[in-house]
Amino acid sequence: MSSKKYLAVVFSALAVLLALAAAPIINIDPFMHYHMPKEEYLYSMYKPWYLNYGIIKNFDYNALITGTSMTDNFKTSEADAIFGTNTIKVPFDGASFKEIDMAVREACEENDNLKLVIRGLDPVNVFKPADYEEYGEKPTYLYDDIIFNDVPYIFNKEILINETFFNTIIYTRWGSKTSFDDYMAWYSSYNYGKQEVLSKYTRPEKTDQKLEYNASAVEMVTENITENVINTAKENPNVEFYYFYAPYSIVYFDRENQNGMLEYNIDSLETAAELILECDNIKLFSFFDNYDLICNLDNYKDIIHYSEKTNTDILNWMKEGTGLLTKDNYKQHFDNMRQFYLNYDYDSIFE
Amino acid sequence: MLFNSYIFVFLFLPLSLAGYFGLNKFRLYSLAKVFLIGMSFWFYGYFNPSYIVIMAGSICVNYILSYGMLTLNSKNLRKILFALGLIFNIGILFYFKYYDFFISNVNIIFKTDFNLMHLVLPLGISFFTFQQLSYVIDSYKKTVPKYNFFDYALFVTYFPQLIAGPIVLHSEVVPQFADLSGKKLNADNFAAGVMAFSFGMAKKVLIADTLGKIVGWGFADVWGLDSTNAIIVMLCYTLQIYFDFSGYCDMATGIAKMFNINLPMNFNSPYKAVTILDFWDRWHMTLTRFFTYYIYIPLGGNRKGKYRTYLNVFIVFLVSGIWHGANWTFIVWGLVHGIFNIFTRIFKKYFDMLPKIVNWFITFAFVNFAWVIFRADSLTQVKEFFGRIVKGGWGPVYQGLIDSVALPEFDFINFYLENRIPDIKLILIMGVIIFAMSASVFMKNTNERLKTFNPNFVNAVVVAFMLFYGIISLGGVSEFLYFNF
Repeated sequence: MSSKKYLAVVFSALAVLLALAAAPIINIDPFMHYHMPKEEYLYSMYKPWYLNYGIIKNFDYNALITGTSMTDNFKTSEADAIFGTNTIKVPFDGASFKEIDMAVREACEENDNLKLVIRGLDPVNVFKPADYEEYGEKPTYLYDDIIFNDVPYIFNKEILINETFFNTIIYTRWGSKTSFDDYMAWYSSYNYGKQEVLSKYTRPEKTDQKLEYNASAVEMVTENITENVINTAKENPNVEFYYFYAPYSIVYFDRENQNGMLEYNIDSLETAAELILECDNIKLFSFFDNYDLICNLDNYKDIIHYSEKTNTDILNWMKEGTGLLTKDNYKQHFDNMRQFYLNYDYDSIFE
Repeated sequence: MLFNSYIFVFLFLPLSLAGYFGLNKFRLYSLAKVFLIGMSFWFYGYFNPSYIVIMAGSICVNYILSYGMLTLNSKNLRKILFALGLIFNIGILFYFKYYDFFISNVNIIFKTDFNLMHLVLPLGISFFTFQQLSYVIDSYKKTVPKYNFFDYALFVTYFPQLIAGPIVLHSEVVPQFADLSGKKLNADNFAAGVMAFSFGMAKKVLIADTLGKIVGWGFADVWGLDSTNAIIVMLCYTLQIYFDFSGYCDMATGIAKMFNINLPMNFNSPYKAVTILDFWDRWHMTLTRFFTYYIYIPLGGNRKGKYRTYLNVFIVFLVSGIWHGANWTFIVWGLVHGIFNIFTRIFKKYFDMLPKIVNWFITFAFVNFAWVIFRADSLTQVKEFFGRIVKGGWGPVYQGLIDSVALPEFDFINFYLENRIPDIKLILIMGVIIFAMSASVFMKNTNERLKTFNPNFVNAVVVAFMLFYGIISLGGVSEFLYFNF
């Protein structure tokens, strides 16, 4: 056989094999990159960093819930009933503001019908650099419409065997459809209460040194909020943004207090609020003055994660306007926070 | 950039080949070289563009120094330039690779508190620094022609051998790039190159990376191993490092062949070796060659009596250990090899009396144990590992070891055969180990295949399948573990 013929056989056979591997992935599309889920299959949805952009691009919706794991337990059916919307949920566990904002931007660009974005703002993420990303290598080839960079998606044995075969074809035989109420929801897998929370918490030694909320800290928060929260809202005046500070438990405040970070936390939340309230299409909510929620550890599974009842309450509170910060009341709100959390008897938690 | 990546296979390599041969077709020979240098810089700076500055700076300084040595007649001036060349190259290597190691040892010995730099080691710096050192030394000796800058830059940057060798000599590569017959796509070379690349990719992606999962599992918890599992982990690492490194070199050889360039052989079935001297004639051959030319022979080689020979061997292996990494484990690994090498030389006549199979076993067993030192994070872990081999006790293969090989194709086979063959995953893993072992001892290596390469249909289909299997194994699905949850 001549070398030319040899090469022709190698590359033809390779092309055929690659096409055979890619065909089921493109057809079933386990990460919904190309199309809506196929009616004849059930998709086991559990990889949000792979799925969410496909959901954002291909689903029919006019409202979106996003954020970190603090938004995992939202039920879109409740959001639909409360706000009269058709809602999807695309949480990114552990994500930074930048990473979540990228998804919100994508939704605004892809969906002209988008009317409402409900987004949780984690206090710990407020004072991180604007370009901070929690995860390094993300499947960004799923985040755009460029066909050429889809190679890692369509020529990938893990996606072929695990995601297409096991988690879709085989899952269809015995699984059940994942609704957006259930997607990423973890509330039923955990126990709640003081014992549970404290068992996962190692109290730091109390430090006398307090982290100073200085000009560079203000600048960092300002950049982060401007680039990753406000700009998207300003560029999309027809969309309404309901943002809330995720209500961490009193034990979180204990940790920050022990670390000398408590005032820094509250100051940064106030700076962020001041900036956000300049944006007319963002409604910002804070429930840090809901002490029945924050101080009752029966509502929590660890120092920050609350139960699904709180998610339901948050939706209702936002609809009612409870916890809504305005230009008129936000200073008082944060003064009240300082008054309460800086004087709280944290040792009593451990009695 | 890595050869075993989607961007390399689907974009970089086709673009490089098309650009190089396209420009040569229009007789733009110099431009074709510049294009290849540019592509090599892209290849090198893909993960960290700041690496490009380091490499470009290194090339410019070395070229100027070498040019000076080749041009000037004053012996003193040439000596000064030579000294500068040595200081510059060894200094760069020391700064990026050994500074923190040196300082941390100083801190321990003298109870000081000097700050560490925590520098990110530029990829392949040991390789391209050694290649340039060879040119600097030869320039001082005036045994090299005066290359033009682009020829020199291409010799250093040429991407197939840039980050993991082989360590080529200027005299091997530069004349090939000047050869007009190599400027045109050659189907025979291209076919052979594709074959070598496919074997290399299969070795690296399918075998080495699979065995690497077991090795990673084992070394993550050495205390948890018993004798059985520790020996399996040790054997897996012996096979992993060979298939990984030689696989990568096969890919380099194959890619270079596509460009009509022949790279020197770097591995000649080292696990077929029957003595440790034989092993080093087969393992990372271009490094051994470098040390022989530039350290062993200048030290006197074997010309100054047997004791001086032993000392020279010892020095070479000490330097080799240091070259391999900034950790006491590498230095001890080098020393252990040096000592066994000298031991073999002293007792050569006794070794020669042993049957070949016994010598092979002694060599292979020694290499296995030495690789543990090479792989371990610290000498403490080496001690722990050997302790587990001796005192761990014998038992079944751990489920953790089986589970560490989480390959989807294994799960697929397991899904259909589990009820009929309960231990199918263990059987598959042992199959991979036995195949890798047999292949490294009994099968022809890629360079031997290249010499006897005869295009035929079966070979084409096998090559296509290996390429396919390798390509679909390049990616994965990450977990994105959220540790705070």
